[in-house]
Amino acid sequence: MSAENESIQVVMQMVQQLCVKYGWQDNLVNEAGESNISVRLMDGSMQRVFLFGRRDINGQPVLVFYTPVVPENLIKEFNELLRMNSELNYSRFAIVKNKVVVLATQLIMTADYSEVARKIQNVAQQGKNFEKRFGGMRL
Amino acid sequence: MKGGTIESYIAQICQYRNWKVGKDSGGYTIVDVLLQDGGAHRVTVMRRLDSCGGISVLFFSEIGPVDQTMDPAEVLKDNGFMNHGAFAIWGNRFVVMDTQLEEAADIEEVAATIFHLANYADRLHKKKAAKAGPKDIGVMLGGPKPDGKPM
Repeated sequence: MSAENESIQVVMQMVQQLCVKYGWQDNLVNEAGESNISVRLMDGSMQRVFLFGRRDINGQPVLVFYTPVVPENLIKEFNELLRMNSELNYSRFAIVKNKVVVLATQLIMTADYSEVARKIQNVAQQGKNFEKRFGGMRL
Repeated sequence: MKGGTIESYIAQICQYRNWKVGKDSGGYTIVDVLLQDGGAHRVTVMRRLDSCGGISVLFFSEIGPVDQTMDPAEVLKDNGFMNHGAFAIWGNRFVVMDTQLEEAADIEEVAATIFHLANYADRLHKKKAAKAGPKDIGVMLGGPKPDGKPM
């Protein structure tokens, strides 16, 4: 196994351990080749967070976490989302495949247990908050 | 933290890469990052509390004022592709920003973040200025509007 694959495996194990620790349901790499986890929020509800890998401009592997919030065509004021971005920690609003999502990225090389946990929790919680505000998405 | 503070990391990075570090009028750390074309672009660093009571270190670099030269929907699509940082509106300015959990920050990550933000912001700043430029000059000279119609 290459050093790179090994580091990806380490981060995925980290995510699995977080699932056990926080009572999240993991569905890492299902039949469709897609990974997602259901994150338990403070109010007891669950929010699905999707994961996938890609490379940055330097060729370094990056793990991406995101949760869909609302279809793009329901948003009238995109500047407002960009304003809200300045208030978010560890995540941001983006548009992916015609959906507004809350998304975070993590450089695999520097991934840290507490940082990965904070990013997943943040993506899930912010996703839920804004889903309520904008009407939400059914998955 | 992994063996240092954000300030100590920034001091080491700036010394090694020959970037200028200082404080702005609000007391926030500012880093002037040297770019490949010989220019420099500024990154500001500040701290704030996150929702779990941890400290989030915020890095941002200014692109320019919020105006018609950037389409916000397109900017949000770009946010989906970015691996380091994201576009945001801070006050009345477009910025590119990133945050890190202070307790988990390490020197490589801080250096990569500052470098990427400065480069993104500089590239976008130039692109934005190029879009705005001919129109402004045209208006100043009393020439035709960009659509070719007389003013």
